[in-house]
Amino acid sequence: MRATDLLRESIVALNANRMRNLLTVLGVIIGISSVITMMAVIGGIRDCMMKEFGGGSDHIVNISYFDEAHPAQMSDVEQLRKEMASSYDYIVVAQEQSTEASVGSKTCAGANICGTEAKCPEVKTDVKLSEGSFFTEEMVKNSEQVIVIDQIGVKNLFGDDKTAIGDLDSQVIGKSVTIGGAQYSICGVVECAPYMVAMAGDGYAEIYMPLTTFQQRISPNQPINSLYGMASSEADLNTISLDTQQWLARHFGISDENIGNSCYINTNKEMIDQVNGFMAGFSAIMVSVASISLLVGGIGIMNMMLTNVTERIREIGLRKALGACYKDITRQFLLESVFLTLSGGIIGIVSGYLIALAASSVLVSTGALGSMVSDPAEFKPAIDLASMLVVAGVCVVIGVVFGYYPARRAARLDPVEALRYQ
Amino acid sequence: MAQGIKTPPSPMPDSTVVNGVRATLGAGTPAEKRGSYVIDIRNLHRIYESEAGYTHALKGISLQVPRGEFLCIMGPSGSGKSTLMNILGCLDTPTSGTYLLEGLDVSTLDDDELTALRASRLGFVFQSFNLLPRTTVLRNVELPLVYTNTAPKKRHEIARKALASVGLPEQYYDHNSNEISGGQMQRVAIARALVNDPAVILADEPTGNLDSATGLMVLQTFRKLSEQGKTIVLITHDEEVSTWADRTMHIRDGKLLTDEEERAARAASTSHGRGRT
Ligand SMILES: Nc1ncnc2c1ncn2[C@@H]1O[C@H](COP(=O)(O)OP(=O)(O)OP(=O)(O)O)[C@@H](O)[C@H]1O
Ligand SMILES: [Mg+2]
Repeated sequence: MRATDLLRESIVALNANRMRNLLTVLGVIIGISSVITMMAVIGGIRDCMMKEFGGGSDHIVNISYFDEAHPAQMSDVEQLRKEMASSYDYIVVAQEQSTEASVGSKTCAGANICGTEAKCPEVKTDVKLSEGSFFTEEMVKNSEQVIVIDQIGVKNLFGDDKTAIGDLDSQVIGKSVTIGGAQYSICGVVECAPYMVAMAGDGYAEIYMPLTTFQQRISPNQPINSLYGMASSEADLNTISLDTQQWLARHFGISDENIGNSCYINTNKEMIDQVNGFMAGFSAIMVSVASISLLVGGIGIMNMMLTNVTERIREIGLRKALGACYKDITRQFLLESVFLTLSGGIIGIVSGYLIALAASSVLVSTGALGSMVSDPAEFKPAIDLASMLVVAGVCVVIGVVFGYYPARRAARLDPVEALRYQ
Repeated sequence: MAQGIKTPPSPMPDSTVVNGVRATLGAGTPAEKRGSYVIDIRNLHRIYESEAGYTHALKGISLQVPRGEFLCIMGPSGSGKSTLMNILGCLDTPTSGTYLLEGLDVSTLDDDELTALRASRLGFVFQSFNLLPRTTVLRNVELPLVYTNTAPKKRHEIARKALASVGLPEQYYDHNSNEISGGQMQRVAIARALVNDPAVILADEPTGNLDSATGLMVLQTFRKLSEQGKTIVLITHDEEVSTWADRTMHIRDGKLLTDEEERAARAASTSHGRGRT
């Protein structure tokens, strides 16, 4: 029997009982849409958590070094860059110092100054420009007096109580800020995390400036204590962490027992793996609960297919008499049940996603997500194509599993008995 | 098929391939002679086993149908007509005895091989038409060809030809099968039995559900097909119907009788005060 004929026979048969089929498939639709809803909401929560940990980039290695007996200088960094060139694409220094910044009469007492290099936004993923641009390598080399300031700093230094975050961003480019008596011109504004708005007070500002400028004017003689490395794409993060630690121990002559207290090396990968693992466990539980309704739906399909076979005994007998073999009959009935479950699955995927959209707006507005998501506005249900394909595959499997017994029963009918059946 | 192959009498069983099915000719019988019949049945028995016990439905039936014959089998209710028909149609297998269809020993075939044989060599016409509802006349006629993997284009062509040969006006081809009259339905069923160019058309009481006028039309259709050289075995308990056939056999209590034997048997039974069925 040709595939097109098989398909056609199944569609004709299914069409004959549209209402009944729809009601039976409802079980599968409910099952699938609850699975999809769960997966999409959990996926959305995971995405939000990921964003906080740095946008999902799992190649960034954060190296903190604070051994006072063996302070690190730029020359040590240069050596590290050279000797570990195969492990890191590049390494960015990011020194910090708290000081006072002011514009006219407005002052931020606790401005956090970060002396860093041009590639900083690539390794510190919370640095996202909303206006202007980050300073260039050229500016770093020339120790220019430029800064990039965050939106809270803009509000605190240029605005007043009524100013909203982001309002003044475009107006402050090129304006000057006084830090330690010197003037710095603003070349870019970076976004701030919404949760920082509530936490940061009047005296706060986050300011980035070229590392060389920082070292000359803000904090001379400060030992290098904070590096961000971009691991090369084929490198293994755990190996790199360990290699870096060993390099530091060797370079500064620190014993293996003490190196753990002198430096701290961490990677995003560990955090991302943790979040993923936690979320996978969470979704496994939710999905297995939802799967029970899928099982019920499958049994509904089987029940209806059995009724279907009984109703069509004469037709089956006729088909066998006219030359339909065992395989033809099995396939026809299997295809009918797969068709039912698959279409139920597709409807379920679509409706499940819509329910997830509706549910997430409810979750966000009622604050039910709580501390899991720090930025409810960013929350979007998320499900990837692969998961949807898996769900569709599960539907096909349900169709085959629950359709197999009825189909086999149909195929095994004795043609004489079947033709005589009233 | 097998008929075309002239096989010398041989002590070894001969092999024939029918529709991809490899089967062995009945051994011990001169293949030449037996191969000349479309249907060749020898000493056929069919015993039903059921909870109520055994029913000996066919008791040693022998029957030869040459190619092109229009044979009518008559008998009262419960005499074993349908049982015989099911065996002839390869829907059922005999308990003992041999059945050669175009020289092919059917008893050596498994279920799927029998199905393939039905699809390619047999045409069925049922008392209750057995058309697929909600399906067009044309599609109904094409159905056997669907199971022999015939290309759609060729299928339409054959089906239209078959419908034309049973005299159904073309305007009905696209009607659903439940939208036409009983007489038309039975002619559609006959067209369906024709499409695979079967060795024999088997009809079990094809006029049983029709009034005499439409029944007549259906019988005329059979007569016409017979004149075109089709082999037809028709079952009935209506004596009127049997007059359309080339030859009539009678089945009584699971045994096959010729016209003369039937007359003798009938005379004997009426003398015992029993009426005809
Ligand atoms: N599946 C079966 N199981 C047991 N006995 C059966 C079965 N089919 C038929 N019989 C018996 O075999 C005998 C012959 O039955 P069959 O159906 O061949 O009669 P028939 O000549 O076709 O009758 P009718 O004209 O009423 O159709 C009957 O006695 C019937 O009871
Ligand atoms: Mg009968």
